[in-house]
Parts: sequence; C-alpha cells; structure tokens
Amino acid sequence: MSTTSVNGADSPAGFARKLPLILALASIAAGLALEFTVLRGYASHWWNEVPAFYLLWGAAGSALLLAVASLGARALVRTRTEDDHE
Amino acid sequence: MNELATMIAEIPPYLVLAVGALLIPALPSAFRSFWFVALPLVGLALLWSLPTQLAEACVVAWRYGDLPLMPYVSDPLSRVFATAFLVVLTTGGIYAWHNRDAGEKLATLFYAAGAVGVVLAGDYLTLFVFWELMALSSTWLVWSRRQEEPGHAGMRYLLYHVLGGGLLLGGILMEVSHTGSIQIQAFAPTGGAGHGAGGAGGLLGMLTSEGHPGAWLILLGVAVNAAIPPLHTWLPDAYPKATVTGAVFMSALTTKSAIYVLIRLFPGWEVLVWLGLAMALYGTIWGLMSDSIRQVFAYSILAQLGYMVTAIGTGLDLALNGAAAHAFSHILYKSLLFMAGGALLYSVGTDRLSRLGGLWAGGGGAADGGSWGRQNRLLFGAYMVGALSISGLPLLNGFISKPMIISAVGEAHYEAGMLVLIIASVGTFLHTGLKIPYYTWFASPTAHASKRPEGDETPHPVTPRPLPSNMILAMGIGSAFCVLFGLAPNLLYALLPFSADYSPFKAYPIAESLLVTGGGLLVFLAAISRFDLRRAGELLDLDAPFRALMPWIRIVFVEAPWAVFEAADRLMASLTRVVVGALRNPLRFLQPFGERNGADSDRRPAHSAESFTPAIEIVMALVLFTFLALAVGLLI
Repeated sequence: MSTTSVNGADSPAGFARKLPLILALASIAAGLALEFTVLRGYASHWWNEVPAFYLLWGAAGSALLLAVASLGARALVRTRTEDDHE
Repeated sequence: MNELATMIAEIPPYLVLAVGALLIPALPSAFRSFWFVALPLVGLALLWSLPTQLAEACVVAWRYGDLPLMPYVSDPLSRVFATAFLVVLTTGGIYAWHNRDAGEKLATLFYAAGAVGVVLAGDYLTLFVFWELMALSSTWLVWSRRQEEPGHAGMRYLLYHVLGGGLLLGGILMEVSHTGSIQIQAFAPTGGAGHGAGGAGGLLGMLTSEGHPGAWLILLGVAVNAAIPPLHTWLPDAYPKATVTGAVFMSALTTKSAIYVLIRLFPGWEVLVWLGLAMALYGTIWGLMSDSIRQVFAYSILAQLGYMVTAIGTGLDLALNGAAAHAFSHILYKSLLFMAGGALLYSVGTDRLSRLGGLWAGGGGAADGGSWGRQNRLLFGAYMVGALSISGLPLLNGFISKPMIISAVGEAHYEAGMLVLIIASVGTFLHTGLKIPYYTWFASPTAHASKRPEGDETPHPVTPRPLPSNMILAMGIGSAFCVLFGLAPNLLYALLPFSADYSPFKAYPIAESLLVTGGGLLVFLAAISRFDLRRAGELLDLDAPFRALMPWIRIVFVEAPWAVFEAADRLMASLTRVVVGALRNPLRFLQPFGERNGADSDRRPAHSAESFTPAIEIVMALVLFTFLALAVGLLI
C-alpha cells in the first residue's frame, strides 16, 4: 500500500496545498458542532433559528463581495505605470 | 520626596515627546534611535505613575486670560488611547531603528505628541492646538519619501487636514460662544440607543433634532480625521505613499485620535451608526479591489473605523467600550500589518500584488546567502498574526473587541447593522487574510505577467534584500501583543472606561467567527481557481471627479487670476515708466509744439531747450493772460 507520492496530497507539498481547505473544513466543523450542541435552542435574533446561518451568511457575503469587487475593479482601476520603489 | 514624585508624575507625556523631539537634531545619529524609543517609555511611566486621586481628574490647570485651560486630563478613556499610542510609538521606534533621518524622527515625535495631547486635552483650545500639530507633522512623513508622487499626495493630505482643522476651529468658536465654556463635554445624543437618547424619526429629524451648528461643524472637522466618507480619500491616497516607517505611525495615530474625540463628544449620535456601516462596507469593497498591499491596509482602516463609528453612534456603554477596545486592538494589529507591508516594500521594492508572487518558494534567492529565506518565514508569520487578528479569529486580539461591537450593535436593536458588520468582517478576512498572503507568497509570479502595467520593468521573480534585524524584532513584539491580548482579554478590559460585562470566550461568538470565516475561506478557494483577483493600476476613489477637474480648477483658480495679476503688473509698470519719465523731464509733453516749429528742428537734439522755446512762450502768454483776466475780473 503506497502512502506517499511526489505530487499527491500525501507529500508535504500536497498537504500544504490542501491546508487551506482542511482549515476551512475544520473551522466549519467546529463551528457547527458548537452551534448544534452548546447553542442548541439559543435564539437572540431571528437568524438563530436558521441552521448554519453564519456559514451561509459568510459564504454568501464573500461571494457577493468578490463579485462586486471584481466588477468594480474593471470600472475603477486605471492602468498606469507607477514607480513605488523605496 | 513624595511631592517631588507627584510633581514629576504631573508632567504630561506629550511634553516629554515634544521636548525630546527638539533634541533629536542635536544628538549623535547613533544615539537618535535609542532616544526615540526611550521617550515613549518615559511617557508611559509618567502616564501610569499618576497618583490615583489625580488620575481621575484634571491634572494640570492653567488660565489664559479669562479662559480656564485644562491641558492635562487623565481619565480611563484618555488613558487607554494614550497607552496604545505610546506602545505603538515604542514598537514603531524599534522598527525604525535603522532609519537615521533626524527630520523624520523629529516629525514622528511631534506627531505622536499631538496625538497624545489630543486624548489628554480637557479643553477645546488645547485639543485644537494638538490637532493641528498632528496634521502638520504627519504630512512630513509622506513628504519624507522624497519622490514626486508622495509629494503630491502629501499636499492633498495637508489640504484635507487644513480643511478639517478649519471646520473644527469654526465649530469650537461657535460652541464656546454658545455655551460660554471651553471644557470638552459630550453633546446631547440625537437618537442612538444609549445615554438617554431622545430619538427624532428619520434622517432629517436626526439631523435637525439636536445639536446646534457648532456641534455639526465640530463633527465635520473630526469626520475628516476619522476618514468618514466622502471625506476619507486622503487616507488611501497618503498612507501607501508614506515612508516604510512613517506609515506605521500614521496607521495608529490620526484616525484613532479622531475616534477618541467622537467617543468623547458624540456618543449616541445616530447618524454615526449609518455612516459607520457605510464605512465598513466601503472600506471592505475598495480593499478587495486595490492592488497595493499598503493601500489595502488603508482601506481596511476605513472598514475597522466603521465598526468603531457605528458603535459610538449607538451610545451604549458596551458599544463605547467596544469602540475603545477595538481602537486599542486596531492600533496593535494594524501597525503590525503596516510593518509587514513596509518590510515587503523595503525588501522587494514594491508592494503591488501584480508584481509580487512566489515569495514563499523563491524567498531563498537573495544574494545574502539565504538569511532572507529565514526572515521571509518570520515575516509571513508576523503578517498572518496581524491578518488573522484583524479578521477577528479567536485567541487573537481582534476577537476580543470586534464581537463586542457586533454584540452591542445587536443590543441596540440594529440587527441589519449586525449583519452588515459580519459581512465586512468576512470581507476583511478575504483581502487581508487571504488575498494578500496568497498573491504575495504562494501564487505564481509569472501567471499574471500580462496584467502588469505597460512599461513595468520590475524583474520577476523579484530578488529580495535582507531586512534589518530591528524590523523583525519589532514585528515579533507586535505579534506578541496581538497574541497576549487575544489570550488574556482582561488585560485590556481592565483599562476600559465604562462598566460593561463582556467575555469573548463564549460559544456564540466563537461559533459565529469560525463559521463566517470558514464560509469565506471556502468561497475564496473556489474563486481563485477560476479568477485572478489582481488588477494592476491606480484604484479610483470618490476624489476622482475632483482630481479629473483639477486642470479646470487650476485654470479658474490659479492660472486666470495669475494672468489678471500679470496684466495688472504690466499696466502698472507702464504707468510707472510714464510718470517717472514725466517727472524727469516734464517738457517732453510739450514736444509736439516744439517739433512743429522751424525747418531746422531735425538737427536739434531731442528735448533740447531750444525746441521747446515756442511752446514755453505760448504757455507763458497763457499764464499772463490768465493773470490779466483775473485782475480785470477783480477790478470789475
């Protein structure tokens, strides 16, 4: 049974590439665990009734912000040369 | 002995900084950095050695004519800001240890003296003097770059702050004439949830219900320094163009001293809630669009100020504590981020994402034998501590203040505001926590070569130069502060001005933070595989129309008046020549009579007495005739 490959996910480089995804999934799992255990039945705002609301809100907000910024940059970034060397 | 100790403790910390600054040019250059770091430490010792009975009151009081001045007032609110300013001056001083520029060090100390003076002032006159000191000295930190573009940005920065200072002075004069007092006191709230807010309905009611014109003028003046849109454009314009070391201090002092004044004067002004929410979103979106790392930081200052301004607008004790705590945290992690961004600029010569990339793998390519490789890892680590702090992740100092504000905004029944602030938070994570580190250290530097501006000759991959060890040390200290306050929030909460019970280490804020950032991270990972989020060039802001109109403004207000002055100058010069000529030889005006007289007039020299003889005869005859006529008239 092979456990390592040069470019695969099992190599250190592959693991580093996958690290952000692993972190994202770990934080989401931890957050959901808290939400569905410790915070079960907790409601101080209407959205606390929506399961995994903060995950959805974070993802939707990020998608919206990236879309707005991407479209905005097309209109608002003016190309020119600038020497900012110290 | 005790009296002497009390007398020493009564010395205002800003006086130490200002007097110490004056000595900088006289010191040997090797000693300047030590002096620079020692002064804020002395200031901190003085601030915290005040006897308890003085620490809650006016420490120093003078009279200027009929005006009772209070140039040194130390209470919990002012102490928390002054402490943060002096701490960042110390770490920034270590960061700038290698910089021997006496002018920059002198300007920085005056700048810090101004900021500390603003938060320790008990009266409007003192506040205004320090406000202006801050504006003038900080401009030098932009000009110290000694390049054309920072020169222009510095001038725009100065003009903005002169405008803000003028508005502030006008408001102060109206306020003093209205109340007869120059003591700094909070204005009545206009509809926020706390501090006995009245609450007139709607925006118009909010604008007209409370506060006379003086208060609104003061608010406008402070809004310039607090970078409240549309008065914010000086911030993303000037901060990225300041010197590597100067930007660290600028990120901490100007805007946070304005936040202090807002907490002091305008708690519960509901208009601030809406302005703050707009700021938070605006700064986040523009931060995502910007290509310059230090400009992203500047826009994220705007977003973080939005949190504080929103909190101040609610007026709740918890919210005001949150604003003060977030200002403290923000000073620490934002100065750390500017140190890291400045270190990149110092080392690789650019802070443009479109010119960076691959630093993680290619970092060992420096010509120094590999010390950059180790420094690069430390730089990345320090950067990520700052980036995750500003993103509000647990166990770092952003987490102990940002959720406090979001929670307070919810308590004040601005639920939509809570959701907006959460979006702004995940946006901050996207640009500072993900976009910058990804495109600086991990993305391929060649993948986006086609996106570089025309004429960009920056070599790729860039060859970094090693960082001075003091820069690494300062970033280490900054990181340590972020972690320390993140792990032990009570160190900060004990300094806060109001009594409000809050603990960040509860399931709700932790779950909220993990889920929101986790969702953001997933979307970012999906986005970068499909889109390149970099776009090289200059990002336009709300001042773009004014800057586009500048040629016309120049024609109307500079060139046209100049042309009129020049024409008037030429006219006056001509008149002067005529008058001087006339006084020298009045006879020349009679020349026409003389010229026509006689056939040999061509042979006579000009203006010779001979040529005027007939004319003089005519004039004399007229004079005699006049006398004759007068005599006859008198006789008759």
